[in-house]
Amino acid sequence: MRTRELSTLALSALGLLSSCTSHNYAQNVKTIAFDANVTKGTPLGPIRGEDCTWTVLGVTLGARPTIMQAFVNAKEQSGAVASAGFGFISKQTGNEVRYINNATTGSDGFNAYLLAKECFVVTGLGYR
Amino acid sequence: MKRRSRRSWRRLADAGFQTYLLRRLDIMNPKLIAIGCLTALLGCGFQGKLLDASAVSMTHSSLEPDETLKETGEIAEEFCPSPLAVDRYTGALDGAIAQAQKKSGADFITNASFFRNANGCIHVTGTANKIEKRATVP
Repeated sequence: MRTRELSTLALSALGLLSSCTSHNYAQNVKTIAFDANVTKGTPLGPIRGEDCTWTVLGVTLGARPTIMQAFVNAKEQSGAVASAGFGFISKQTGNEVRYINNATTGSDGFNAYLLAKECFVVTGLGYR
Repeated sequence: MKRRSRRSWRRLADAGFQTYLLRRLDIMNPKLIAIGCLTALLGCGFQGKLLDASAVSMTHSSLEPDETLKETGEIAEEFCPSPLAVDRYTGALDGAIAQAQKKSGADFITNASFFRNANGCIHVTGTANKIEKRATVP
């Protein structure tokens, strides 16, 4: 690989690193409700929702993860397939979370150079 | 031929090395700088809608069965996380909700929308609601 291409990659990586320092928009939000009815519900225990993007050999598959989609996946209690951006395959109904207490957002994933995964993660106590 | 001093040789070597580095790395290339800036902007310097929620609160976890919400007005608040903080956006939603509730006196914000603008501030809109006891039917 030529030096110019290497420096392009290095600069891009630096840009990404410098701007990707945080995904923790919510540290401990007491209540985030997906339903207008916020009357005390049935506790579901700790729940997690994530929105992820895979990168294979430098090619990003699908759109970048969003905090909004991570919340939607937490609400729908979507599995790994839906969290990877294929929600139309495994959409579940009837098991939806009405509201989340003590909601926290964060980032997750790994970078093995040839294969990388970047996620927004939402955790909290779910209620139906 | 004029004889160079040791300092002069060193200065020449330094200048040569710097030029060599700049040429080799091509770091001052405007195209590369533009690509780097663009990547940074597209990377995580996200601007736009962060979240829509039916209701949010930093003070209440839910309503009791004998409680209900009463709308008290519209909310449009902006919360700018401190630029000096190490992890600037940690808890930005917490801060935005707390500030909006404090200013409006709301217990819950319903139909809440959160946006992040170009300055990195979090803009929250919604309806302020106070908790009321349900009227009991005699």
